[in-house]
Amino acid sequence: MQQQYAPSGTATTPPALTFNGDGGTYFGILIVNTLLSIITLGLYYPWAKANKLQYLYSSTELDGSRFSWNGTGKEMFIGFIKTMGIFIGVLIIVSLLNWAKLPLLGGLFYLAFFLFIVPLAIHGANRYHWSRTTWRGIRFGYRGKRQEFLNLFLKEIALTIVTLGFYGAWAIMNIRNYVVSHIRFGSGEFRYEGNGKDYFFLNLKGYLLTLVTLGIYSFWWQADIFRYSVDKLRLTHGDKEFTFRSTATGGDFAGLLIVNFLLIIFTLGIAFAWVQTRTITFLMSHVEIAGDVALGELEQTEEEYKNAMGEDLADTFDLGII
Amino acid sequence: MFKGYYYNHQVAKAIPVTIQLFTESLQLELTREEGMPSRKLQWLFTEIDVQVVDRNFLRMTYTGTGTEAGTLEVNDPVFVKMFLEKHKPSRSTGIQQLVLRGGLKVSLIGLALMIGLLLAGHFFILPWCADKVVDQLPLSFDKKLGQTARNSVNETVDSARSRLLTDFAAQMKWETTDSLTFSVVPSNVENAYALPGGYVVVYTGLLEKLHTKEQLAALLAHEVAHVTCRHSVRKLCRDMSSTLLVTLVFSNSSGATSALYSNANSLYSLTYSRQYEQQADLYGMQTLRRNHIDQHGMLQLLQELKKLDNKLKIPEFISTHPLTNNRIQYVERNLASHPASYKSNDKMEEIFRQLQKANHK
Repeated sequence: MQQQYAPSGTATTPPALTFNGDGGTYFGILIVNTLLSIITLGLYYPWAKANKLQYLYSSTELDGSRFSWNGTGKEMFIGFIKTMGIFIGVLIIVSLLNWAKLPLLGGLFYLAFFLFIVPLAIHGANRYHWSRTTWRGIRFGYRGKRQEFLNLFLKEIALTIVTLGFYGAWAIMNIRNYVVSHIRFGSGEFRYEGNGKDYFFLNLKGYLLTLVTLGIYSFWWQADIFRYSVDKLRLTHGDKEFTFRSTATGGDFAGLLIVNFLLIIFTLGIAFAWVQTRTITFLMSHVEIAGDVALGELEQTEEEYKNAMGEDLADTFDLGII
Repeated sequence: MFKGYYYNHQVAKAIPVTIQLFTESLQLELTREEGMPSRKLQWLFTEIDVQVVDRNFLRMTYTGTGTEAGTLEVNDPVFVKMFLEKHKPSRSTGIQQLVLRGGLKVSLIGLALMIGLLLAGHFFILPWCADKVVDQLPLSFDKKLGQTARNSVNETVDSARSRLLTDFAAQMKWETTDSLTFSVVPSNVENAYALPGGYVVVYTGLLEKLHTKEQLAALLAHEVAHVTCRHSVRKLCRDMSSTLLVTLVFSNSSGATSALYSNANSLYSLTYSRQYEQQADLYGMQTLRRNHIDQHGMLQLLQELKKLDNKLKIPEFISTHPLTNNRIQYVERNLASHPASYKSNDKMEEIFRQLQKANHK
């Protein structure tokens, strides 16, 4: 590969993403989490999640330095309580409407609630999650505007419904473009430029070929989807830029997923921790970064944001954003 | 002296530092670019947040006031060990740390603990809850369950002998609000059973082995005790407690009851625990005493069963009622501690003779 030179004349090799997590330790964390969640009847969940994320982030390295996730169980527990409050409130309103013999109004209210709460959850979760992620002491951040995102989301969902789902690929791309392009890495800015048409035909091709090949093509489809989410991503800092490229082929994915499947089957599920760590290792090691951003020049620009309610709301819907 | 990296929270620059560890604090000496004087930072243990990532890696963030805000990362197992010896708060933050530092070994202990907990839940906690649930269930539930089970099996009832058995049982006072139904079923199997809700069935195979009315009374008392103690409902709920819990979580209470009904069939193949059998024996003896029937009937019944036990073929009644010797022992002890008078009951004697005559036809 061609060596890139920074203006100062020092050679900058593009950084690599690596994951050093150890399945055994991760397994222990999940076990302890499960144990404590059982004993506390689930109340431990926010702390369990914090433990898990702290370990996963701290095991991920960029350019030799580890990421850090600084969220706490307490923050997420408070978010959890608020989330429960909202749900109880909604249930009370719906049952009041039912009691007043207005079940149709209740149903509509319910629907509207979900339509609005999902984008709000995505927004809140991104704000909290990125603000609590740091690398070399520099915070990530999410700068999306709530109202803007809400409008965008509702518009995309409406169009998807009107077109009986065909617009889905465009909707996913527009939403992803908005969210990812508002993520900051200190003074660095992420950009995502997905295209609904490309994504639609990528999936159409994947779907048809998977049918024709009786499922075998699904690994290549998976590789295409992963490549699309990586290759359209950029990180810009001033006039400098990093581009990302996936080197994972369908064959690579087949190897990963088939071994994962066998591990799960033959250990009766006990290997799930190892399956997760080797999947993360796989994904990280197949992302290639190229460009001239000097990571050491990224500055602290993002504020701290400790409201975890969006994170918990997103959890409730199992949105799995990150 | 240890090596680490310091980040000043203003720019993502990794500044190499040498660290000196003291009892209450640590000192960071920042390596500066050439020609610049080096700078030293003093962090008190009370002013830092520590995150133990694993046994090799530590991250600490300065929380004190001043311009020293920053993060230190050290990738050195010796440093981690030494630091944790000095920094007590982070050493005692619980099992999460144990796992992080202990790796797979601690993880496996954790797994064993969890399996232990699940087993305890399955064998002790859930059955206990099941018992509490049964106490809450109305008796009509037993009746319905018994009917469902009764309808699912085609057993031809010997109506003449059933009538005699019912007359026989009517001579005794039963302390129960259930309406009891007694039937005789022709079969070589030496068995008798009771379904919830008061259905007591005696097979002719066993009936023919009984020689005195006291033995028969003891047998009925034993079976009715199973009904009044709701043993089969308890056993069913205990056996199904895990399934019921899952059903309750994923559907609702009506789903759980219908799961119970659909398992009414299994009532026939239930084997009671030794504890339930002992309870039924002793409860049965109480019934005999209350009715002024010679409670030695229970002992004779067991001895009769023991004879069957000695035959080559293991009768079903025995195999589901383990350790007859043991039962004889505690029945004898109970006899000794509760002496009771008894009256002869000619009516019962007469019905029992008729039953015997019917048997030998």
